[in-house]
Amino acid sequence: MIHLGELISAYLDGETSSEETARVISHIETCDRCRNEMSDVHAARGALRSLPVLEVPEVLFENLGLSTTVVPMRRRPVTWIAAAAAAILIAVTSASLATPDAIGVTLYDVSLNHGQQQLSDPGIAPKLAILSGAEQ
Amino acid sequence: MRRVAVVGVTAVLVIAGAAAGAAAQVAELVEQGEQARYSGEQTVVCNTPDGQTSEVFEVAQADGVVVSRDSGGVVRAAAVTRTGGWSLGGKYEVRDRGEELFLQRPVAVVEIMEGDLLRLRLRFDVETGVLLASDVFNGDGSPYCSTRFVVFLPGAAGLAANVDPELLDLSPVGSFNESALPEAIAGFDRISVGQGPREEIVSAYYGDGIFSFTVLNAERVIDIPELAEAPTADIEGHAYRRQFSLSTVVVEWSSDRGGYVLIGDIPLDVQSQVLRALPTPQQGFFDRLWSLFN
Amino acid sequence: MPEHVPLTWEEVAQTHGRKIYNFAYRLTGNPDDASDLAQEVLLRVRRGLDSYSPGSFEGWLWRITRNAFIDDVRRKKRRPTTSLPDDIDRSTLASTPAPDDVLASIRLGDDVQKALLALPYDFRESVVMCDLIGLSYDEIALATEVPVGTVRSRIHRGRRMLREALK
Repeated sequence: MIHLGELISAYLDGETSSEETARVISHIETCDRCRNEMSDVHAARGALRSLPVLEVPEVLFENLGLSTTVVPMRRRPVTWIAAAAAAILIAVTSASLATPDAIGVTLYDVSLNHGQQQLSDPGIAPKLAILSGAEQ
Repeated sequence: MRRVAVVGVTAVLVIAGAAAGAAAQVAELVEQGEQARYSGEQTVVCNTPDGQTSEVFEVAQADGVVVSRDSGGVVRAAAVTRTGGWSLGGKYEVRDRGEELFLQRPVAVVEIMEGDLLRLRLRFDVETGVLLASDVFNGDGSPYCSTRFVVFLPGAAGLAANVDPELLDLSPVGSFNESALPEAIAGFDRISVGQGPREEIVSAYYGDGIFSFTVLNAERVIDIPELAEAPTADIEGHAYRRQFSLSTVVVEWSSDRGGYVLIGDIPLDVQSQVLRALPTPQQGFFDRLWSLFN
Repeated sequence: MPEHVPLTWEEVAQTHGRKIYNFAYRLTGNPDDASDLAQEVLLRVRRGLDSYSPGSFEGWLWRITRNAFIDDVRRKKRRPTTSLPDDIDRSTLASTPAPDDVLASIRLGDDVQKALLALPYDFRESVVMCDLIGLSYDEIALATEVPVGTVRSRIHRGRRMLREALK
């Protein structure tokens, strides 16, 4: 049997073609060895991504004659689907979206609204809430 | 490949009334799954009229919050715990299909039948109650969407560590157009009505115990900029703007009862049924153009 | 996808400075080296920005960053712990432990950082570019001037080695 090897990493990174993706999905169901390898890669990625992001020492910018105000980085860019904390939500300026004939609303807001109501939903099908386009 | 959000969430169930056998078993598994703590990778594959899409997500759950990160790095989160009773719509029947192995773990296999049609196949991890695999089918038996965990590590909180949920209440709306948002649509009951994403928009949420969707309605047209490039769908002879994101469909149109948006995770044939039961697109400019060329 | 190219050097420094610094830090494990490197990269970017022609900005930027790193190592005549790219001397860079006065947050990632430094250079570089900087495989291939297949292999092997080291 040919094992997946580096396809495993590529797959988790979203870098596989549709054929490769299909191959990974079907192979992984029956192959213990590749599944264990995927677990290892998953763990390594998790460890790396949890490394703190370091701030650039100010003196560096000073030496280059640049102002020290840096573009603020979202420390933990989490988008809430079924809940909203005002500080985290992407701000939408609603005034600019409306025209006399139409009310503008973003896909993000539509999804959030649906997600909020799912909180009291008794359905058991897997909910795959969407936010397509919201982050672009 | 579209970048979309996925959070595999499951419902809290408090069974309303006496529910026996398989349904009760499912309820227990789901409730147990909500308490679970795990980290893993989940793959989602969907077949839509616009093509097949698939995506892989790093997911994790701890303390009632489930978090996902897609391969583009976008992180999304949702609260898992729900309130409300679970009453399964009369059209469904739950069948216990025994146990299998999935990822070398015992899983309870459950099938949800709609008459003779297999609608949903679920595989719950026996130890934790987590839904490890699911398959949703269209009315013609073709697969709509599938989810699979490919890495499952119970006990580790991963991404879900230290996430602090703050919930917003959906404020109930006073009065609304009952005929525009009826009490029942295509076998789904209206579960709640509330404020939409804008003051003028009313949002009604429908469910049948398995699937659910939201209908938005307003007097004016509801315009979603992201749908401007969306393909036009011909559903039963009328033109709608429609876009898929994995299993979630968003449809936008305007009718004689105002502007509409439908959003939900429902199989393709159910989407058509729901749209058929709602006011059809009016012969606005867009519709007239459409009928000129089709 | 339309490429947004920062218009000015200041903008590049503002939006990419942090990433460049972190890239250098994670590769060397040393804040002083990282500062020197980041500074050198930004200076080279300033010099090169006029002649930049549209393509992959990330690829271009990270190629500069990488070249600056290699030149820096050559200049300081350090000995890398493990193999560097073929075009320079194979010698070992001693993995200098971080000084005591580093930011407290660094201590959280100590084990991971140590494990990173133990990887062969090629693997370490690819893994850092992918998992810490967030570059796509194509961008990494452009920056490191190898085929995407090589990038795939380096990332996968790097991660597996990291996992072993962390067990």
